[in-house]
Amino acid sequence: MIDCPNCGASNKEESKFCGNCGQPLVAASEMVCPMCGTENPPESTTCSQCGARLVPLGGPPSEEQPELVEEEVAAVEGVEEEEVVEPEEVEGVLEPGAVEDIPEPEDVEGILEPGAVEDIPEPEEVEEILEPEAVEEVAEAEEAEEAPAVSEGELGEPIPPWLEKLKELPAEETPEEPKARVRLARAELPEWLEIPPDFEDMLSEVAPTVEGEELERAEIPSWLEAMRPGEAEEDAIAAEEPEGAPAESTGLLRGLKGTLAIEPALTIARRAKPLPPFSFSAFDVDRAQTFARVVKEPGRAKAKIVGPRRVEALAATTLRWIIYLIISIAVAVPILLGSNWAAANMGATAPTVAMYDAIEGLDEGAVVLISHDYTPGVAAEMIPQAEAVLNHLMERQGRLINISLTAEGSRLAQQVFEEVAEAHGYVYGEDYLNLGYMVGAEVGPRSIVEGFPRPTWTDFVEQRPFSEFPIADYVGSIEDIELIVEFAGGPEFLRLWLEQVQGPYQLPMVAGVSATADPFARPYYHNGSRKQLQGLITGLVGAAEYEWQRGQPASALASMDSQSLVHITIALLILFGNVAYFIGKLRKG
Amino acid sequence: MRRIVNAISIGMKRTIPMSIAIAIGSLVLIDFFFDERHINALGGFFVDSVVIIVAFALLLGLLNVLIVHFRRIGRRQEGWPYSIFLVAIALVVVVAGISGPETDIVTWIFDNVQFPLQAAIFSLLAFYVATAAYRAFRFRSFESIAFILAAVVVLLGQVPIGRYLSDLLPAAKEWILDVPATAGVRGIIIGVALGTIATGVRVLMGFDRPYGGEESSDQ
Repeated sequence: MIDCPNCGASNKEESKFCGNCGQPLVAASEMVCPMCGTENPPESTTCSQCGARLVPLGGPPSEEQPELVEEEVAAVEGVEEEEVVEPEEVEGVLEPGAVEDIPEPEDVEGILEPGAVEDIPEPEEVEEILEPEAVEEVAEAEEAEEAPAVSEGELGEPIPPWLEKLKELPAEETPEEPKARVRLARAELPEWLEIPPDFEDMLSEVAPTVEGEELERAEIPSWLEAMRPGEAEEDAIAAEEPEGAPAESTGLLRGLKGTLAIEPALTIARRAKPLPPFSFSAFDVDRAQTFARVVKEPGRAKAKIVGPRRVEALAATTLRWIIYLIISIAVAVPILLGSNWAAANMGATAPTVAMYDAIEGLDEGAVVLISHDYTPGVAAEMIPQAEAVLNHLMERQGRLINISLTAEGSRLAQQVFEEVAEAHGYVYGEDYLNLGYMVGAEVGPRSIVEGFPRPTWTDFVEQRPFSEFPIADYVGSIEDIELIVEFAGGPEFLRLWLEQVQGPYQLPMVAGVSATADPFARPYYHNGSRKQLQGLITGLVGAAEYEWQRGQPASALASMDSQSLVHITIALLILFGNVAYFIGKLRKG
Repeated sequence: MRRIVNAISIGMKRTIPMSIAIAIGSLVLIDFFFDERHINALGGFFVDSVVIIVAFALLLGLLNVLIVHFRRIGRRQEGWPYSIFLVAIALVVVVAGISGPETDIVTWIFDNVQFPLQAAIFSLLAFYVATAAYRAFRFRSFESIAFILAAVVVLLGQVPIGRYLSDLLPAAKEWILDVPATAGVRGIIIGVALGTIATGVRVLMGFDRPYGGEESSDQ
């Protein structure tokens, strides 16, 4: 993310403009640090990464700034008065942008630039480069960072003629002349720059001298001249050099000592930031000592897995399988034995009786809309319900139209219808019809009842239009529906029917729901005088109660022995679990 | 020019969908409260539109599943062999079901694959409940005691053996389900209803835009 420098809003990477305020996010010209290459905002004065100064001392170039530079250059000039410095080289000094050229050897005059010299933290390092007078001037310039530039009169030193000439030239009109170097004759080469004999031989082999042509051998640029120590300084440096100072062993600088020390002064211009005030409390000391002690402690051997834990894990796994086995036996044994003990102790609750009464009260040939809204997951408890209720509806000679809000429900419903219809002599299309899955999710029930029945609907089995079936003659509108029977695997289906159909159209409705949906269905049954659900059966037990109420035992009632045994087993498991828990607690004390 | 394009873009992205949602939502709501022929016809039209859109959404869902698993197979991602099975079975069911949902192949797949698998997975719940009853139902506090007692009473009162043990157990079970449980569920239903109203108002006023993708809400 890029934070806008104007409003602070976060923007995506590579954004060019702020999405909030429209400000450009990338500066037109960024200031590249000459030392580490980091891109800094154009208004930065120092590098955000290495602390190197990005603009010359005293801020942006001004009319006063060249004067200050001139003083420094003059100080350097004082060292080598005979040296002729070309205007272009001085221009490079005066231009702030020349800072970027510092790494280039030919432009190392940048080291004389105020900004670059300013960034050199250690005066001792500077002394290796500049004469003592120059260092003094630089130090003064540092102190006078915000002070007005030093005038010529204050210095009291004469301005050399080349500098006078330079002042007359406007900065923009500085002529671009080829760089001229200070050339020294062979005899003028200082001793410390003499080429070693063996290297000279090597050079002559590589580039043999052309006869009649004298090559200019020594060409010492001004920046290098500026580095040459004076006689007094040479002695001082020699005195300061440690005995074991490394000396160059090869090349032009062979024999020279302390040459490596220049390197950091040239490339790493860092300004050491002062450390923030540091304070610590006794608590910090204690924590630090603890940390130090822990760090110094020898490593401990890995903790071994003790025996009892393995035993406990094995016991837990074994116990789980024992419980599974007990439940399996509780389910299977009554079925295998074919016991029918529960039927003698069965009863029917009030919601079941109410549902039975609602269906029992239907007129012969009444049109009933049935919705099978469940999946195979709860089919074990929903199908016995559907069988019991459909048996009762067919017994009452109802005309049944089935739909489903789930894709699987239509197939499950068809299975139930086929099983039940045969016993009652019902004919598909005449006495009952399956319209299948109705798409629509949240608006499904409403889309079904609006304009019910739609001639374009096709049935589930034969894919024929609804209007082609004889049962369509009995259904002209939604008002012809005398009862809605909803089989809901989840509470959401029941809620959709209640909200979108039962409430707005005030149609009588009963429901069979899965055991998990029962708590959400009961409020609609116990709804004061306006019972939205006229009857309710719940789970496999509800189906068994309905069968018992009708006096026709079937699959649901037959499975009540297994269910009774499983329920009592679970109750006993709760009891045993608590006994084991308290015994364990007593053992642990 | 860029500002104009941005304004149009924002309009296309936010204002126009929001206007459509508010207008149609209000219309369907009005249709629910008023019995006027034209409004009812418009409301019915939009309800039918939802049915068509949902049908297409199912198709898009199938396509998305196929694309995802084809990509997984192509990249040899973890579990890619299962994706082969998924794609193959999906294509078989789709091809078999083109002629109708009650063809022999579709019926056979439903009766012998889908039904047993779903029923078996749900049946495992009985075993997990039994294990949890042994491990988790602990008499640790007054609340846990009340919870366990209610569970045991409903467990026993629900089945004939409870009636066999005592007539009080079925009556106690009915009382627990009719009074405390129904009261709690009523509270939940009323809370959901109030939340639904609040959400509906926010959508109708444009504060919530569930149809706008990311950054769809001001809050």
